[in-house]
Amino acid sequence: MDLVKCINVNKSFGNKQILKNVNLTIPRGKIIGLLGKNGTGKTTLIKLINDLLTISSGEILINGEKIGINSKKIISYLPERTYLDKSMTIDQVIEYFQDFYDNFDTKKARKLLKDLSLDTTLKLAKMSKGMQEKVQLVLVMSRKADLYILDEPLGGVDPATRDYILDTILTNFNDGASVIISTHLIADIERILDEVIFIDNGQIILQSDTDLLRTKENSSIDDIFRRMFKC
Amino acid sequence: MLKKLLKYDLKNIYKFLIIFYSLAIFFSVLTRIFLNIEDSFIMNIIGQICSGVTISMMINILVNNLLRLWVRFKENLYKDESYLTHTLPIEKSTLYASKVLTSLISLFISVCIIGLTLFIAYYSKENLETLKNLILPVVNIYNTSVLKIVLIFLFIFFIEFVNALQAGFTGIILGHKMNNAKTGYSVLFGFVTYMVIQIFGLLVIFIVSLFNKDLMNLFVTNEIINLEMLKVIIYLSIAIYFVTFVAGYIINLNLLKKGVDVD
Amino acid sequence: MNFEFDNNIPIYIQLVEQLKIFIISGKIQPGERLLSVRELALQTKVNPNTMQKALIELENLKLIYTERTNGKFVTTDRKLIDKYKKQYADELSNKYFLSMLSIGFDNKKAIEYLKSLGGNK
Repeated sequence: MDLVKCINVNKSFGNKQILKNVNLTIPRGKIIGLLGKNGTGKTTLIKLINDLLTISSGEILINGEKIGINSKKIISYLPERTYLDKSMTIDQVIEYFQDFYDNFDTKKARKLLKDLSLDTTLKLAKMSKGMQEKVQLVLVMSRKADLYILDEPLGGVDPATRDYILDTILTNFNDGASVIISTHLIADIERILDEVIFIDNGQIILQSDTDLLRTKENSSIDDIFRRMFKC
Repeated sequence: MLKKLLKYDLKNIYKFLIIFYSLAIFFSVLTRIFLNIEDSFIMNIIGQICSGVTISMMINILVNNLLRLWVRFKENLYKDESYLTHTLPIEKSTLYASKVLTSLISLFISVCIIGLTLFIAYYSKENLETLKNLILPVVNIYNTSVLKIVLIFLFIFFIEFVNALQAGFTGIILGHKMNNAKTGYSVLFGFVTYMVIQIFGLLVIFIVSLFNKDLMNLFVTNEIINLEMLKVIIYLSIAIYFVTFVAGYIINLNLLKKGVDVD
Repeated sequence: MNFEFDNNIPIYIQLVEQLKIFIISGKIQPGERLLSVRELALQTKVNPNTMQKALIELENLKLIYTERTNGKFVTTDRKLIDKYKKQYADELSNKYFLSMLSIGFDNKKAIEYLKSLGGNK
């Protein structure tokens, strides 16, 4: 059974069609880059998989089942915005995740937060946006999930933070799980990707093994992408 | 899961309400103290001011309670926080149940606190007599005690608020199905839903009045409401509000189950 | 182990090359136990799948072998290691000669030039 299967998925807002006939299969145990320019439908696709948008037509199956409680139990999702109740302290947020997710590893989260040397009695509202994002990443990666979906985790961060984020992802994803990372900053992450999916104008242009693509085109994924989608 | 959700929803609303509760009670005590100091003009003035503050605090409690429930509903289900809410392994029905239960509990406690505030600030034998005289005719036709009548009115007041609140939820859910101007549409749809509930209520009363002469007078004459009429209206409105509440609950739940489109 | 990667070449091929150099240079000794795939991936900051692929390749080259329960070990076959060492040295030398040729040094001149440099060290 495929981890994720999208069958003829369409999504429109009013007259505006954002996703056009998306057919896609996400295998298990792979790190997959969902690559596309801004506003091409990456986030829309991710939000559909996470039940944050309704499908206009088509079907998405997670482990062969429709989206619902069971899919939410196995998907750990990092949105591209800060989404926690900012009046909560870090300790309270940890308790919240512990309350609602059976697969949340509190010990791991505490350890990772300790590495950030954060005061866990601090309210999120009192922390910088960058710090809040790191806390969210830690929480998301501390779940023993089957699928991690990370939407633009590297958007607008400095190189040191970028390294921290990539390290945290690589070190903490559950054995045998898949990771989907959406980004338009390809050069920064292409070395950790098993597979890439190119999305443009709401359509899947290409899905391929990363090293096969490099060998075939004899260049980096970043270059291939730039050649295909000249601005 | 419902218990856990309730814990967080209640915590969220009470973080603020508790402050207004304390203020209302605090000023009601002051009102009582200052209004009972005899023969002092200044004290009396201060007492009147405190009395004004107490009343505004009571209104504040209701308005704040209602507004915060709506804002929380919107933030939690459609704004940034919705990215967490809708990805929790929880059914939409549980999410909605928690919101409604939080509303019922907090509105109920708020109405009780208002009752308590009134009691602390204004309870005296004379005031009680005035109140008694005011509603004595009603008490007589119901053959019941003053306390019961007060409670019945508070209860109608409470379910009226619950209906208004749920109409707001309907408005928010429908408004967020639109592609833009979601807040504007939310207010519009909420208002329309509330009007629909009121018109439905009137309609039911009118239909019943076709079989009830006393009630028909409400529509065909300009007389002041007579007591027999009032009796029927009270029972009817309780029944109507109960029906509209249940209907609203089912409608909202089914709308939510169809999925959300968050920003 | 700090690796620099060239995004133009498949990562696993670069990993194979790097690990090969570690083995033939003796940085990792014959018979030495390798870290687990996950640990190696962490140290080199690559995807565990990619590291796995590289290790399979090294195993095909017989430079490492798997003991069923204990993990992966570097071969103790010194002859084989020497063979790869020679191969690599040949490759490097060829590169040198080719590059020298491109600026007009034939093999003989290139060797002499090397010698003249060697004296200075």
